Amino acid sequence: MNIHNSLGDNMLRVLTFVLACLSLVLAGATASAAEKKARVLVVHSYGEHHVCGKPQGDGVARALAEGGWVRGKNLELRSFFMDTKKVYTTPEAIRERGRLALEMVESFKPDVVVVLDDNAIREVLLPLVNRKDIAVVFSGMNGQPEAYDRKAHFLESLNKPGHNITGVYEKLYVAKSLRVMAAAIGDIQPGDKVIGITDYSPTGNAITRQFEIELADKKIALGWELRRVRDFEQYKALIEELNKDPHVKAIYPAALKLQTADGKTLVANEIFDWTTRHSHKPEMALNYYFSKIGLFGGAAVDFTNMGYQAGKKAAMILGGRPAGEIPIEDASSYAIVFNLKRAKRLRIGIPKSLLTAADHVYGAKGE
Amino acid sequence: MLVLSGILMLLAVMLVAVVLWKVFSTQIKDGYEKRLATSLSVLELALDRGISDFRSSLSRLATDNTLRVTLDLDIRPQLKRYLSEQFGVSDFRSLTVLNPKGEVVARLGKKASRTCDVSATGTTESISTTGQSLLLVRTVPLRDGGRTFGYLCGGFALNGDQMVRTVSPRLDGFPLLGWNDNLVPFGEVPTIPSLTASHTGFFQLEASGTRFMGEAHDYSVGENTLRLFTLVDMRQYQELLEGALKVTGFVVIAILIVGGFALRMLKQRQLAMAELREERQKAEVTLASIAEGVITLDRAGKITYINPAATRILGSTPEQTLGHSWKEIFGLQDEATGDSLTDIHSALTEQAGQGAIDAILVTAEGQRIAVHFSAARIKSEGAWSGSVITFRDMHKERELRRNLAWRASRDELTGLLNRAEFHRSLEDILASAEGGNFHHCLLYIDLDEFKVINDTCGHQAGDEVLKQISAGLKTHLRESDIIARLGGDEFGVILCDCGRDKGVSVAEGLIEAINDLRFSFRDRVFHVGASIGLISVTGQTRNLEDLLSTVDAACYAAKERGRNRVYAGTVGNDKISHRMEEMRQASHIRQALKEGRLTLYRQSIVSSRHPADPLHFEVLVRMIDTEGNLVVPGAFIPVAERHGLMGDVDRWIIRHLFDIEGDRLRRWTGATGNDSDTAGHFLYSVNLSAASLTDPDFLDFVTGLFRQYEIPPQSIAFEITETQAITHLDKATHLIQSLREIGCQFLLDDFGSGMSSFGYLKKLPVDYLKIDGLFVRDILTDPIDRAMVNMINDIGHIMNLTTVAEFVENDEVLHEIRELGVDLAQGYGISRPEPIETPPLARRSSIA
Repeated sequence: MNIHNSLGDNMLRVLTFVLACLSLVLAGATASAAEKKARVLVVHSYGEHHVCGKPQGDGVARALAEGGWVRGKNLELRSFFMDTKKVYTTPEAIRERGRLALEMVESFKPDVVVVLDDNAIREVLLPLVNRKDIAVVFSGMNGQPEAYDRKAHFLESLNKPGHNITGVYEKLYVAKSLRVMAAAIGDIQPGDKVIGITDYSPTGNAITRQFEIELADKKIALGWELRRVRDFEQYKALIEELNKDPHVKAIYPAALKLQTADGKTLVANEIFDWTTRHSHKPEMALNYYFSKIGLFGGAAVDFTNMGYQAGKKAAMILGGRPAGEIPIEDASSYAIVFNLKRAKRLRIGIPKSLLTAADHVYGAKGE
Repeated sequence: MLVLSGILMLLAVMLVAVVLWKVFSTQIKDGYEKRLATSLSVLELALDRGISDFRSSLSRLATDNTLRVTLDLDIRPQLKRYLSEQFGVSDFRSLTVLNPKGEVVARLGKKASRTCDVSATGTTESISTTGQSLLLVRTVPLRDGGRTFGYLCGGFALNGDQMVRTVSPRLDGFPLLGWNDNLVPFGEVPTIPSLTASHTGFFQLEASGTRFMGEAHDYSVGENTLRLFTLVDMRQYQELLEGALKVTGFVVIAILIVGGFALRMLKQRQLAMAELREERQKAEVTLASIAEGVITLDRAGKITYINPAATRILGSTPEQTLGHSWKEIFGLQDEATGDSLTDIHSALTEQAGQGAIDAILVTAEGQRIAVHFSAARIKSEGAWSGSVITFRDMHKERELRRNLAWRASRDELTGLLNRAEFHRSLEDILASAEGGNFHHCLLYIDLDEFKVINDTCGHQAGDEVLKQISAGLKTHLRESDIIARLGGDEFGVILCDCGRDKGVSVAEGLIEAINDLRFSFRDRVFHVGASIGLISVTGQTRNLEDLLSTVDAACYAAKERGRNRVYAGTVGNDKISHRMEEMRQASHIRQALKEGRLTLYRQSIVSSRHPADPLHFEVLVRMIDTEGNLVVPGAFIPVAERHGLMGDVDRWIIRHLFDIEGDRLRRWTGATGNDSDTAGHFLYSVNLSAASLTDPDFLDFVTGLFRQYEIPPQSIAFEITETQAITHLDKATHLIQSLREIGCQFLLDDFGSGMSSFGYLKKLPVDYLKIDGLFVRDILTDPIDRAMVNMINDIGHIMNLTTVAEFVENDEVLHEIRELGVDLAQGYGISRPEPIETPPLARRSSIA
């Protein structure tokens, strides 16, 4: 046997092996690259069908799809429902739900985490601030962004947050809503007022703060007064009281979680259901969906559009734009909504001119 | 007239063409201007409608509560949406909503104006341009009582896309808007640098080689004045003009064609009218000049026209006849029955089956005239409108017909029946007598020596003799007998119901009667005899031809028996048959002469010492029968001689020889051969018959041919037989001398077999002596023949004649005659006769 031939053969074998390995790696990488989808995790503060969360979630999904991110094709979209309104209502439970959401973040490794409403903002967004590998988009923030920023600095400015956080602030358009209400019920006399009602939940606190901020220095024909309730019994008593006050022209029920005497927690739709059956005053709807389920209406936040705004920011991030360069915005859209059935029960004739301007009119004939 | 019509038509066509062209081009131009005007109107209407709608929308919105509410509430999304729905924001309509401070609350539409005027208290309108758009901006203050709560500012793109889409489908051409020297198009408009906003009315422009027609007029929008334009590519106009030109051309051509046809028809009509006039004139002249009477009747039978011939026949005038019924003027009777014919058309149909009958016309005076009468109905457009009757006076015609018939059957000179009528009579007799028991005699009379009278006294005397003989013959015949002059001096007689013996007796009586006639002329008295052939005609006689041939032969037999006698023959007799056969042969020979069915042959005559070189040729004749077969001389020459045809044969031979061999004869120099003893002067020798020898005209005939064909007489020799020469010694001598004087030579043929009188030989001035072949043929075996040949040869030589041996049939005979010193030889041993056209062998040249 020729020694040179033997050496040559060995070298050839090694070279072949190396090339084969490289090919495999390359193929794997290509395959991986071809198979890699964008990952988005939507963390809901509330339950799957919550009146606030669901429309936002729908809006997010629609924005992503319109941005070219299609589930199953190039997008893996998952949701986590913290359900902190109905089920996990204690602070501990809420924190635990937040922890679980973060675990999911770690395991799922999303490119973008979309957090809806303040509980999820607090429990999930804040821990993810300044993560290099994850961008977070919030929607339905009732608390002030600056307040959250004090807990974890993510905000250089609203126009250019500068970190990995951006989102949509849930502006309530209270002043506009009051004007619309005044136009709707008409015949406003001096001294007439609208009573805002909030609870003492974090959301309730945030909303209360929002009321204060939005109505500061606003001159509105209708007066404003805020009342806070701790539980459902207080709520009911307040409603009865307000029914008797002729200067109360409308109420703004923003208590979305109340406990009953027997310890049951009532959420928004349950509270609203009781309210429309017992209150004699037209209700301003914080969310246009609230009008759909029975409240009188007015200018209400368009939660779907708000979620859509957030989803568009998420799509931008997936497209390569850094979250820190995407402005934090107010929810841009509010809807003029009325529930004619409620109006009829309250014997309120909404001016046609206002009705024609309304975005949604619920409770009309045939509906 | 026609030329004038043509010129007028041409002028008319040109005028029509000019008018049409003018009309078309004006129509097209007017049409275009109309279309342009219509386009502008459409554009204006569309703008009016659009602007009006725009203003109305703004006005309506300005008072809309929802607007006020939403503006007051500052609910901008809802405001925007509502306004968009109510105003109809589009790509050419925009809306801007401003608050009382003039701040924009909502801006809808692409062309939302930024030039809203919020300074005025009332509605304001302004026009502004933005690039290729012309905007109408209208600002309406929004008021609620005394409070202005905002402004509506609407923008209307006058040439916006929507306007273009709305207007352009209904427009012809390209629309533009002009404003303050700005021109903005509606949609896509070709660039026309020369078009400015100052153009007005109708105008034409050119750009990039294309002509445009346009119209412009002012259009007021509030206090603003725009100028509307619409332009059209004139290629369409030009194409239309071309189309108009084509149409005009077609119309002109059509007019020309139609006019041409019309002129042609006019011309044809004129020609037809002229022809009609001419025909009418001809008809009138014809009717006036014809011998037939022509009368036209109307439906009632009244006379409407009568020609001169009719008036003449009827013996009345037109004035007496016109307007009267024909029955008042004349009557018609059936010629056969004498019945009156009152319905002329029925009469014609019944009697004649066609349109003419022979009738008797009875005039008003009772005169009866035989007429040939015909009538025809006149139809006009299918209906009977009258009749035309014609009649011809048949009296003269019938008389003439009788005369002609008489003349056709008679001999003009004698008044007797002619040959044709005689034969017809014979045919009738044979036809009627077939199988019957009767006996007629047919006589054929040929006058003897009649020719002498004709030749001596002239034909007039001869005619007179014939007349007298005819008269004389008639006196000796019965009324029932038929006599005819068959021609010349021949007569035919049919003795009806006459036995053979009686017939002979009558014939002999006729001969006597003829013999008794005496004619004197210039102190000479002539008498004539007759040879009569007689044949019986019975019920068994069938064939007219045989009958005629037999009686002719019988007459000839009478002549052969001495003339002036009767020979009674019968059909089928051998001698008669032989005679008839010979007569047929003679007829064939005559026919062959007439048709040129003779042909010339030649046989060479050579020197006995140089038999290879022909010196002379004897011309021989053959006849070609009707089937193309060659007939040798022996088969027809004797018949020709007996029937006096040889003179014609001789003449045919000579003329034909000169015709065929004229060139050779004219070149003939008579060159000598090797042997000076046999100097040949002639080329061809021609046999002459006794008829030619005795023909006083023959010499002139021959000399005339020599001149006519320019034949040197030296090239021709003539052969006459010893017998002919002696029989007609004086005439032969005269002929020989005359022809020898001009250079011809003579051969004495068949010497030794005839009278063989050498004394006669001394008198005949011949040049050659032909030893009879009978002596030559047996020269080798018969010493007497040899001695005869020798003797004739010696005598010939002594008389300085060239001797010729005939019938040299082989070399031994040739050798023998050579030994005897005979000069020339002829015979089958030398050469056989050959057609004269065969080229002769070349002669040997003389040897020095």
